[in-house]
Amino acid sequence: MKNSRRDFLKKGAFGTAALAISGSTSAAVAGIFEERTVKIPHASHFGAFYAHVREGRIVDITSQLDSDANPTVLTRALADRVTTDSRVKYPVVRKSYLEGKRDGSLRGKEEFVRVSWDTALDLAAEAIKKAQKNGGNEALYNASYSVWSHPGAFKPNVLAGRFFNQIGGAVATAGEYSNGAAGPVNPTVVGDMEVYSIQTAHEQIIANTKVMVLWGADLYKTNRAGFSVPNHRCYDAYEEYKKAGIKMILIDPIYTTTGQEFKADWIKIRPGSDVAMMMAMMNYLYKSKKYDKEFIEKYTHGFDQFLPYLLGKTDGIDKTTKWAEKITEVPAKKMEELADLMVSNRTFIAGNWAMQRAEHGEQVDWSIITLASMIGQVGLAGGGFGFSMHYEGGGDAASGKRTVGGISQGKGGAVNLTIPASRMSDLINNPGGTVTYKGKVITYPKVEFMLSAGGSPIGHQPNVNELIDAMRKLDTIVVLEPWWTPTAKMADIVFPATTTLERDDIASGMSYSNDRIYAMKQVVKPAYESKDDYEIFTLLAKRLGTEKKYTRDRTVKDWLEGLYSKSYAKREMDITFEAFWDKGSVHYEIPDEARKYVRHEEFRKDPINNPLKTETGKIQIFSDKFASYKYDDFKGHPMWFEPKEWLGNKELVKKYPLHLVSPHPTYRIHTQLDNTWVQNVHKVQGREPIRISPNDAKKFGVRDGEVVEVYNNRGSILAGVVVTNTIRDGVAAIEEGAWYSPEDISQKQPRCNSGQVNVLTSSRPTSQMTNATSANSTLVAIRKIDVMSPNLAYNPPKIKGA
Amino acid sequence: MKTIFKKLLITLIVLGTFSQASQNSMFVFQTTDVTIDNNKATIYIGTAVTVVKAIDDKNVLVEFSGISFDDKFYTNKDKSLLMTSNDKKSFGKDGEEKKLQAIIEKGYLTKDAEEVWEEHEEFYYEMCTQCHASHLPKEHTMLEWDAILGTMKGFAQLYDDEADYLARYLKANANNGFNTDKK
Repeated sequence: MKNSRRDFLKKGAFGTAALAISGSTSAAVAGIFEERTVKIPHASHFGAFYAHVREGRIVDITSQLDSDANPTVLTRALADRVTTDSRVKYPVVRKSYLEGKRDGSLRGKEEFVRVSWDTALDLAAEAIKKAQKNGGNEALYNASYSVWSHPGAFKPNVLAGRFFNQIGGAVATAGEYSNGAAGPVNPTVVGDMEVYSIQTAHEQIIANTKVMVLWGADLYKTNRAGFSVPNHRCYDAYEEYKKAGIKMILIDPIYTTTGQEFKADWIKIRPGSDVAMMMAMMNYLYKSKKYDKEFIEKYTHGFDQFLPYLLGKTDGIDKTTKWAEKITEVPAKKMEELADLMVSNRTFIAGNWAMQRAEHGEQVDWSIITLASMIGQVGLAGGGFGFSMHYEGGGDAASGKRTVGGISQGKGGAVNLTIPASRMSDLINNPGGTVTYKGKVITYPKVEFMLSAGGSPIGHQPNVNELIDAMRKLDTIVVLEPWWTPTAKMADIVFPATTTLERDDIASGMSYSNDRIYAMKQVVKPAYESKDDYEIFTLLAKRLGTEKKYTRDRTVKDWLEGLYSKSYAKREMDITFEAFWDKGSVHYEIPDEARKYVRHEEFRKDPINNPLKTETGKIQIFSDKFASYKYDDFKGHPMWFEPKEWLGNKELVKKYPLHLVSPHPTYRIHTQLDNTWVQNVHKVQGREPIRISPNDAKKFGVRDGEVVEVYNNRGSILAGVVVTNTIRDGVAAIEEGAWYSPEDISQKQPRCNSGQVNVLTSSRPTSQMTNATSANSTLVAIRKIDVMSPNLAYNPPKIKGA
Repeated sequence: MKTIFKKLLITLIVLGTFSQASQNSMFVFQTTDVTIDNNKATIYIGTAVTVVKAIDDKNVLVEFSGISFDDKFYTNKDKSLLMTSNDKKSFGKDGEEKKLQAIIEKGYLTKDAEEVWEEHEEFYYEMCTQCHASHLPKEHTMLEWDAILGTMKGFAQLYDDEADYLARYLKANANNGFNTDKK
């Protein structure tokens, strides 16, 4: 493989980086500092920044303030990730695997042995060929699901997909963990996925919205990190929301940062009961004749098929606010007042994604869309609904200009078999079994080889103990990682990958605004024996005879230049790649017209000539297609289904009286940054915090700052108690993403010493429709502990020869 | 016995007809001009047709079914895929289901659907697998592709003409598109 990265860097990053001067040092010292310190532009999911490098080490990180309006502390944790002891330093192989014994039960329990790159690569290639021989390419499972490892063009999951596709394919993932339930349903309901769609512009919200209902949406927290490189301009817009006097209503078991910032009225709903509340509000609006009949008739289809259910004609249950009061624990009067407020003011409903990560999550967005239809403001400025205000600066206006994409995976070989995200354990445990997905039946093949790059399944997959059991049944597990994540520790072969700070890449920001291109320049040399993901897959491809197809004989620079050449910056602004690379970023203007964008406005203005891409061109309150699937837990119109695991389950609550929600982390993206100093900001005695109310703390006899055991029938974890008035009684919150750390590996279900919440969450699917994750339908109990051992989550395993 | 023989004969005739129809099934290789009812019209890439007969050494008469909307002719009432258009003359009443016959140069026809979409396919997998794994066109209906593409074209940063280009490929190869029996 040709690789001219070093030459490229010499001319590029180091050769042209601006020099930094510390304002606090004396002139003489500053002079030396200036001589020795270079400031290198880079970008991340947390924002664009400059790495200050002195003698090959990162001495500081500062944000690119012309691109990042409101930087977060998270970027400053990135340097720590490069030098942490949790780095994978050398290629390693699990001891008995290297000895030719394929005893999967020892995974995660025995030491590794340092080997040469050639040995590790040869072993991985042999394992792939063996699996192909045994079961064809369906025996290969590409578990590299996550696209969140970094915002660059060389995404590890894409590089893995490209590799597998070129050797004939592998079993992959359909749908996703984030929006696995709503994502596949919304296109049929409203002709668009909605969960990733550009939102009504902030300017229109500020000018027109009188009431904003934050139905679970936590704008302040989740917009801190982005799929691309965030600019955090949305926080400036939120200041204008405040000034505009928009009345904020928060429906959430947690009084979130967003609720606090906006001083929102808090409706402390019981988790998992939101659809019942929506039904009740619709029932009230119908019976009080306050709903927008004209909108329903003109812009929706199937209200007449939904209405008998809403009124209890089909199931004997009239979905009144009194009925919902018992389910939601929200007073009937409150629901009616809210419905009145919404229907008599310009109201925007900001939905979220967490609600649909629960049993029957398919119903949530559909019910919100139906409720918004009855309110009748869909397509009006500042009204209607949005499911992405909390993501990628939702509401940011779009430049309309092209930034840069990434390397592609290409066509998927001959396998063409994808399983719904969150069915990972089922896939391995249940060869020959079937799973339903959007009206189809998928048969699980027998997989024996699994590869994970750039993500940690023992991070995002619910029911960790179930997953670990499954992983121990495989013939071979290969992991490409910069760090000793819990998944890497369960592997047979681990390849040390570079962090983005050790290589060159290119990124853009943001998904909706599309107004920046960033150079992600190499900042420091690769640590130890780590190699870029691209190079590792190229070396593997060489062993499978596909190297040329994989690289197309292109260097890293060739790829980056090629991607940049398609951008508006190159094509229309005539900014050369070299000029962009020297400067570190390109900025586009946002046209004023884009600030007038109102979602669904065209449909509202002319539904005949601008129909929705649905069965009838209208909002489908009823869908014949959905009804034709004949599922017993997903029908032709939105419905309230009682979950199996929730506070309404009186029997289960006797054993596990707390509903556990696992929201996005405040100081991480999923598992990322858990091995950095920034965690000290919030961890309790080195464990993930569990937030509970003062009443629940009293009930369980635990106090603030105490480490406790949180458990249910799926497992147990240690977590540090945070007693707070910002969570309702009966509910506990543990943010997802702490690194799993089993205390006693000899046990079948060892307690996690670190607080990985997915040890407790359920892998029960949402419904037959999407088989998505229902992690937010989880009950737990708390008990005090006697003895606590050190949390070794961030320590490398025992390695022979290293 | 007589009844069994009769049923067998009918089956053979039906199979024979189907086989012949299948043999004559072709796809339009690229968008080109055709003659319909003595008028010049445009037939669009991927349109599935049945060859009725040869007109001369160069041209053949083809037939295809669809729904007319003024001077445009679509696969279905959703107007998911345009098959042919004619600036001068209406094809029939709006929403009317009918068959059209067109004279087309036979060089524009192929039996191989994959050949038709070779360039589109490459562009699709190039643009739409940069974040996630690929989805086969046949995984969705034409309508579903319209809806999904509506969301995703922003992430893929497709210009309008590129989005249209991809939409045609995806819908033509959707599970209710032109190419339903070759995927």
